[in-house]
Amino acid sequence: MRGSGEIASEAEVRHGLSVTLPRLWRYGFVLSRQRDWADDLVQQTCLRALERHGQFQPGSRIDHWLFTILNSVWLNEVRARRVRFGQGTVEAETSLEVDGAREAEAKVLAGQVMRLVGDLPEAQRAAVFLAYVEGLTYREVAAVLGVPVGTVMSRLAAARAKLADRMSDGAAK
Amino acid sequence: MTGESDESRIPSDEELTAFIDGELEEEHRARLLGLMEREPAVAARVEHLSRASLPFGEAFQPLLDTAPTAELQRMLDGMSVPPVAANAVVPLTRRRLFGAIAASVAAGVLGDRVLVRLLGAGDSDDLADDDGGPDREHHWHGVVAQYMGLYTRETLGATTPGRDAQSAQLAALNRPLNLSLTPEAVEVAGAEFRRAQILAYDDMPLAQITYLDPRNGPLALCILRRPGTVRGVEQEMRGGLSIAYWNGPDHAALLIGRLPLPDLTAKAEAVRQRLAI
Repeated sequence: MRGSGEIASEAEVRHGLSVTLPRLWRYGFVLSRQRDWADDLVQQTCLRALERHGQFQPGSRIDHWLFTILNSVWLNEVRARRVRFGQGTVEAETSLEVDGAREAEAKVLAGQVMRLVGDLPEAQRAAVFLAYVEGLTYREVAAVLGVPVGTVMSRLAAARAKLADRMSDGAAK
Repeated sequence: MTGESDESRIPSDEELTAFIDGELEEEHRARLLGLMEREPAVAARVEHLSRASLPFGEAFQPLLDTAPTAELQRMLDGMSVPPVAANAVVPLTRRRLFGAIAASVAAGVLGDRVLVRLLGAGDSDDLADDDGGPDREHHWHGVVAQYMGLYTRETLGATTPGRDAQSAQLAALNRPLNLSLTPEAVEVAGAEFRRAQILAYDDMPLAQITYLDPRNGPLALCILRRPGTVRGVEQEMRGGLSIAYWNGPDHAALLIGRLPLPDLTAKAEAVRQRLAI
């Protein structure tokens, strides 16, 4: 049934989801900073991806496509809430931190880096995660976030400046 | 990136960040390297920004291990997507994320929540079939068309809310948009009311009222607060969807759906005559 450049099957998207689940969850956690929200975001992403499997272009990066969907689900919730309640996004109280990450000495730096990233504003956090953790190119980050490449550059530059300042401040520590 | 001919200017952080990230063209990169040699301040800034080149990949690796992968996999395995003709509502087993919204609008919000921001994007490749020009006035048509392109019958659910529930949902739109919508005014011939909700377009509230046309699938009436010249119904196609649009003194409205343009336009004309915008 699959011809050249044809439509992706549901099974194909299901498989793509299956192998990307932990990374999707991680992105959901980085965005929301809450485990159960990350669960929900992944669930919604699975639902959307399966419903829209025909929109995935076989041969392109399914993980990037799935990031795009997850990002959209997240953004729409944030925006919807802002509209409904007439106020800004409610930031999670908890900082980005893995259970138990504090315990092991070897994980101190990892915890520190995650906290630094977790303290960034959401838009910068997402760009940093996609570019520096997931290794996407600027162009790919722009596609996932649905913003111009120039916006990605601004966010990364602002994030870099902030992180560099924090690193300099904390260097003596 | 602009101003590249000006050799003496101090590069922006954006430029230096792209340099550090290896995202610059070779020529641009070489020019910056030369500049760094001549200008200690530039070199110092690059050095400073480079302090943010942290071991991100390693730092976030443990998060993958804490992901509830097995549970998510079970969730995925148990998830069945109904074929297009089915009328089942996709169940949502967990509502924490959306609980606040569900509480504020009693009926029918949970089935649909995607992509408004994405579609508002300026230059995404996905917008290729948008007008592509400086047609700002109608840009939102493309945004709505992409959004509606995602709707299936299942997105809308199987039931029509009662009149009271419709009124309550519409009241939630009336306040932010300064409208006075009633169930009668927003009726669309041949289609059943499904839901009224607020979306956002460029940070402006966008009223969206969805309907199910048993023959042609989802329809939506969308209203944006946009003072301008009053204009009658005009029509266009975007992304395979028919759009009929018009302007009142304070708002712009459109009706969109996957049905023949003349049919949609006739429905839109009937709505326009009933609807004060």
